[in-house]
Amino acid sequence: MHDDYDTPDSPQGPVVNRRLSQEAFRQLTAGSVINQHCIRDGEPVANPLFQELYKERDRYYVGAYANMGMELVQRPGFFYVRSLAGDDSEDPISSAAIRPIQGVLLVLGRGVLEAGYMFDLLTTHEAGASPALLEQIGSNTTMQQILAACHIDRPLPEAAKIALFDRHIAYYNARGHLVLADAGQAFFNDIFQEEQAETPE
Amino acid sequence: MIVKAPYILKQLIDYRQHFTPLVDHMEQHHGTTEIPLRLYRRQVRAAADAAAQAVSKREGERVFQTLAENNLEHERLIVRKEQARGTLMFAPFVLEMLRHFDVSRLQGLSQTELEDLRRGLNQSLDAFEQLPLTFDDEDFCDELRLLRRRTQDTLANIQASVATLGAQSDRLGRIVDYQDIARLEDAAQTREALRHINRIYQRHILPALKFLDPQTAFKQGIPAITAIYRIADLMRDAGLPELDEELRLAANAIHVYIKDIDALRRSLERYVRQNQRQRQQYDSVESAFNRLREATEALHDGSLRDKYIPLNDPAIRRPGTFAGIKRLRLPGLDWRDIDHRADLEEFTDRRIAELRDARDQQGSVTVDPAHTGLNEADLARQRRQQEVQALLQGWQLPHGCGDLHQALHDFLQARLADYTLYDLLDALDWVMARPELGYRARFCHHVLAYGELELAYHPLTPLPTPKETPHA
Repeated sequence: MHDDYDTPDSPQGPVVNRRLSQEAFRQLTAGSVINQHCIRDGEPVANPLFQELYKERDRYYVGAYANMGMELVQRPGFFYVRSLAGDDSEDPISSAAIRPIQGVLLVLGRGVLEAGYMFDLLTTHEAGASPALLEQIGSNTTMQQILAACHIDRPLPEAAKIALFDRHIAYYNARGHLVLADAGQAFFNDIFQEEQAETPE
Repeated sequence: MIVKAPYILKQLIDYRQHFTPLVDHMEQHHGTTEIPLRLYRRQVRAAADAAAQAVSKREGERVFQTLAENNLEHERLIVRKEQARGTLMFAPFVLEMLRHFDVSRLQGLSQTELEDLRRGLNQSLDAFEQLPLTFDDEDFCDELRLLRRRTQDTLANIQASVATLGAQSDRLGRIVDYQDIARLEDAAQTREALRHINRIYQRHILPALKFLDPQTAFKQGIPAITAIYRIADLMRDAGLPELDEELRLAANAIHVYIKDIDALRRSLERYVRQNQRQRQQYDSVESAFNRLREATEALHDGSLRDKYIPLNDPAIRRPGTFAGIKRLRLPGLDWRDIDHRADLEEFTDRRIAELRDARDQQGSVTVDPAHTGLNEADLARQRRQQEVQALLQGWQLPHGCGDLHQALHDFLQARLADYTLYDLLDALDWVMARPELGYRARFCHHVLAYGELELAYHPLTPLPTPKETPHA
């Protein structure tokens, strides 16, 4: 009963689930994204944290995060937060998180296609990139150089875990294969759309 | 011993599955009509072996002798045989017969073939416009014979093309629909199938639709169907109603296939779009990856040690999906323009001023004890919740845990001063809010008694999750 509360001065005020809200806050400030779907019992299901943020996004969360100096960003299929002050020069390492994320995503995407698979391998829950495939992609010298230039000094399987899995941009399915979560898919969708917009009719 | 044509043809029909590779060979070599002798002999041997196995050894020998090349040559089923080049050429109707048995292996009518049919019908129209339209004229009779052959060819070719394209589409569609994305061989097959479907769509389906549509505008001449209708009009005006009717029926019979072709077009469009999407995906990933590679190469001067792609490089800046994502350190949380001390001072100053005013007016001030008490109780409960929450940050699900209530109870009891079962309920709420963990309730009752309280519950068993990585 005490989980939910209404803003007392407005009958139509936000209804916030405090525990979901705090769990979402913990994940977002830890640099993770909150996807529209999460994996439960090995199957993708609607993510309650995403639903909570989405439900009261405009009436509560955007303002609440702004009050704490953060911007709650919603992209197709996921939420994340960034500092309202822009890039934090005092913390160059954490503000550069985007570099290993994009580096690993692109190396992974290109590696899968180069190996002869369809791109859908990365986005299909039942498929995913196997550990052996990750090893194979990561053993390529060019890929290793690109990863190094993206500030990644680990083998690709480990880098994928740190840059993607730990941030919920990808997950491991029941077979232990790496699959892109909503956020990972959104990254590639943005790339596809960007390319399409640049291509002359 | 010479075997007669009907018996040879019967054997070809009975063992037709062994002769479809001949059709394959022709299709793979741009419609060549020359069949390698070696290929034909191999297929005859295969047919003979099949007959020997299915019927008897004697039957196998009979098939082998019947289908010998000299028999076929004698009965004009082979029109040419070049021993030096090792090739033979079948009579056209034999090839058509073999094609007819396995339409799925054929290609549909190409644009060039359709154009040839259309041009022929246009030539007939030109001829009839210049000839006297009477059976007394021999040129008219010759031209009519040619027209009938042309309409018959058109109808038969369109019909075969529709059957061919339909069968091919089904086969290729099945490859795409039933692929296992995780298998490399399936991915290669699917890519090839999609490429083939796209080719069928562009080179056979769309030209066939153009051919059958009476509204299509051509640079030279008119659509084939329209040409036949015009000739029918000429026949009607010349007082030849039978020919008029015959030609209109032929034109209608050809035109009817536009529905089948259009249905094929609709069924293939999904795969064509999928093919385009995959090509575009490949190009987009390639292009983004190349930006990253170029940015890496620009850094490279023999060593990449401590050299990272700048954050403002387009390779990192684009597409901006995760722009600004990072861990936000809470101790350093920037409260920006909010000065809490000033807020507090402002509040207390105002409140004290209000209380002074009230005292001045009434002589005394009454503070609502119930209200104050409630706030304190609320505050205490919040503090307690925070204490529980902080403890749970370091809590890990015990290995092989079969009862979440009991596990949390043991954990909290050992660490929390003045622990009660209310704290357990609080802790359960926190743990259950973590979306990555799932639980299943067992159909039985457990009771936990602690202090003055007792909790009856269904034990919760954590579900296995793929959270643990194979690299961990």
